[in-house]
Amino acid sequence: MVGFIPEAELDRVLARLAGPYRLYVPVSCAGRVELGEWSPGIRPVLEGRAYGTAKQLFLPRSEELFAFGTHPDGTPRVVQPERDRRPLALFGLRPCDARAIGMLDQVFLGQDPPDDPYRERRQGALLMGLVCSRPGRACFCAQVGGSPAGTAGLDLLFTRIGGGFCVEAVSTAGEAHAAQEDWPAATAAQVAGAREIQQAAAPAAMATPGLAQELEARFEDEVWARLHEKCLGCAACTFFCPTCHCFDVMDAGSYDHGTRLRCWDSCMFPKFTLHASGHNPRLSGKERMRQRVMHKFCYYPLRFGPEACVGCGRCIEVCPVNLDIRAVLAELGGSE
Amino acid sequence: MMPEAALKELAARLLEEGLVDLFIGYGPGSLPLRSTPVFLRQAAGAGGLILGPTCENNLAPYLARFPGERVGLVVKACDARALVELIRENQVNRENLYVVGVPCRGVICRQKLEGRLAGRELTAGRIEGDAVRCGGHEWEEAIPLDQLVHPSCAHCRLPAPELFDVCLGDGEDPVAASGEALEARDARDAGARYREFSREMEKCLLCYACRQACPACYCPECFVDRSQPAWMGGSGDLSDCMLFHLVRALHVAGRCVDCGACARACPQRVDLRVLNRRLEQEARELFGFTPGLDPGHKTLPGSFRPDDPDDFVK
Amino acid sequence: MELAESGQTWEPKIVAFLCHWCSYAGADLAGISRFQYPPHIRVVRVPCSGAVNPLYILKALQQGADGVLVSGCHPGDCHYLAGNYVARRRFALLRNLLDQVGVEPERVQFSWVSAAEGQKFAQVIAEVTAAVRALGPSRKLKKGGRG
Repeated sequence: MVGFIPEAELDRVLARLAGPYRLYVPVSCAGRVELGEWSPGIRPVLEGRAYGTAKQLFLPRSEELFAFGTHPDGTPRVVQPERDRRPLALFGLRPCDARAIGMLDQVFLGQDPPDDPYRERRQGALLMGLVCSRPGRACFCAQVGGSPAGTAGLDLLFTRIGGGFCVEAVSTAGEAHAAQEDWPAATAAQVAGAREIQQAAAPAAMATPGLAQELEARFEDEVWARLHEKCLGCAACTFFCPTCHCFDVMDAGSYDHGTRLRCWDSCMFPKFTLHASGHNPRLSGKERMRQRVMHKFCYYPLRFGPEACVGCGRCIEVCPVNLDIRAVLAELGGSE
Repeated sequence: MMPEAALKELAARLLEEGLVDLFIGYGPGSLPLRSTPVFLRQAAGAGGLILGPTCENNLAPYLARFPGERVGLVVKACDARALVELIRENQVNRENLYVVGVPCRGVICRQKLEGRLAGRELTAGRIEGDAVRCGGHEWEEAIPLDQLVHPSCAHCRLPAPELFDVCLGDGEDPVAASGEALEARDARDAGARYREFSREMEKCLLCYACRQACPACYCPECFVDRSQPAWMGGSGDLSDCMLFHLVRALHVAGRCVDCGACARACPQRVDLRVLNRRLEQEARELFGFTPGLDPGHKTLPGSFRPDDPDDFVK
Repeated sequence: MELAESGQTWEPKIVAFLCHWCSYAGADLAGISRFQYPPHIRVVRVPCSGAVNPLYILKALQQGADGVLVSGCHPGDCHYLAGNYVARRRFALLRNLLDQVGVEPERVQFSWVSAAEGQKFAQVIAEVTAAVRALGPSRKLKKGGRG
């Protein structure tokens, strides 16, 4: 069943969520759209996608895994951090970002044992997506198997039509929530309007089959030297990538008193692969950039299926030198 | 001839005649009002070179990657000053360089532009005279360039390249540079200054885009990448961000030419120039030193005068 | 554990980078001569004041020092001829930078103390300790913020 929420009702829908959930919505922030915690009076931005990723809500830039110290009698003491245990709810999530969370799930939940801190945040989270009616200049979700109206990773899909939103449950959690909310059914005309927008948004399939295998054979190709030429070697692309998930675990404090932290790391940093001996198997920026591209478009797809890229285009926007991953793929043999 | 046309012709000639092995300039970017560095080894690509207010990168940091090659490099005035410092510090061999000075009226500050667009997506943009013509879904707007130039350009006091083999154009006046005075010393109290500093540092993700974009940051191994001792945690702790930016500012003190490449590279819009501007001011006032002018002088941190101020020493 | 929580009163912690040739010997002389000075400094002997990277000073503040003193030979007396002159420029810039970001520049102090100036060393330490005590505990650059 497709429900309908009039535009004027949205505020009340969000307000009901904000109690049991930590609710994040796209908000306007100094000319940019960012995900921000909702509070009464905040109007979600429904155009454009957020500058930052939803990743940071599930896998923060830095998180305390536990604190350690000693009891007065000298025995070790480990303290679990206090966390806000309310589940997360995200409204206005773009389908590409939801798909990215699905990929993170693969990595952090699809393994045995699953990753506890990630699971804690992810479990019970409600992901409410919004169909993109107008993809942006940096968007290329269709090229990597996504769609502006895709439902992967989502619980509820909102389609904005004149006067309000058509809402469809696209997961069991979404169905449960829809049943609980009991939104009035959309009229046939409203549903037709939503379908039209979804179909207009959905592009012709442009995925690039076989790219992973092709790349595997091009590890030593000369093309990498040229592709890497303008890359400065910063980590902006990886930090703003919704699927990049490499982390480092480190202790802060002294050996008998401190915290164990998990922080984002980046394959673009020389220290990422530095051995204790001083040897570094990825000597220069060329090897590091190759790793980033290969991980996304070769290693991950060979192991899990889809590319580890959802085509959100953030890396293109944040890159200080406008190094465009689409151009890189075109040069490597993927279609543009 | 317009500077851009002259540039295309010059680059083609340099490559064709084998005067340079590589020519580094700017080409159109993949997003509206963006450009991207291009690396030409054949004359054929020279037609794609562009100039103008979208050429926001400083290309000098790339030189270290091509030791021994003869490189043609496009420099704006600030990039040329950065080059002077690199030559002074023996990081670049002047003889292997063909420096093409280009006129600059200031580059676009994407942060200012975002502020003006207020969330609207830019799908097209072009420069027409003194106007930046922006367009999107069912809207169009022409914004005067001088309202969009980067703050480091607005304060640019030396808008003509000082170092070049060829200088294209006849030194156009920068749009906004004229007259905008240097800020006086920060008059706010220490609490306010610290709050601003913390607020900026809170945004930092330690992606090191600033360092990578900076022509003065050429250390083969930055102190943050040392693991023994590990000067920095990787956690993005506020005090680590402060430590990094303060030490970086001191490392480039007296060498920073205020090209603003670091601030423009920052994806989090951290105002990095607060630190550098103050140090640049100090270098001038305390030691009479302006970086980027005369390659004959010694570096500021590597030299001294017996009568340097020392009223702060007990 | 924070001192405030433990109920103890706060005493300043000061890291003193002393050059091997002059100030460290001056400190030695102060000791031999039985000059009294406050017990709040932790001495780190360095080859020259010019060897003190501003990073060391900032790192000390980050790791919990309330103040830092760098002391070297008088101008003209540097064992390496000009190390202290070069250091002087660097420290002038550091102090101004700290001032710009709202951190009290008085937390970072500099002095020239020769090997013959045991008395001056004791006096410098007394002055620096008093100045840092007046500022109170240092928090602005200290670890323990975000993360």
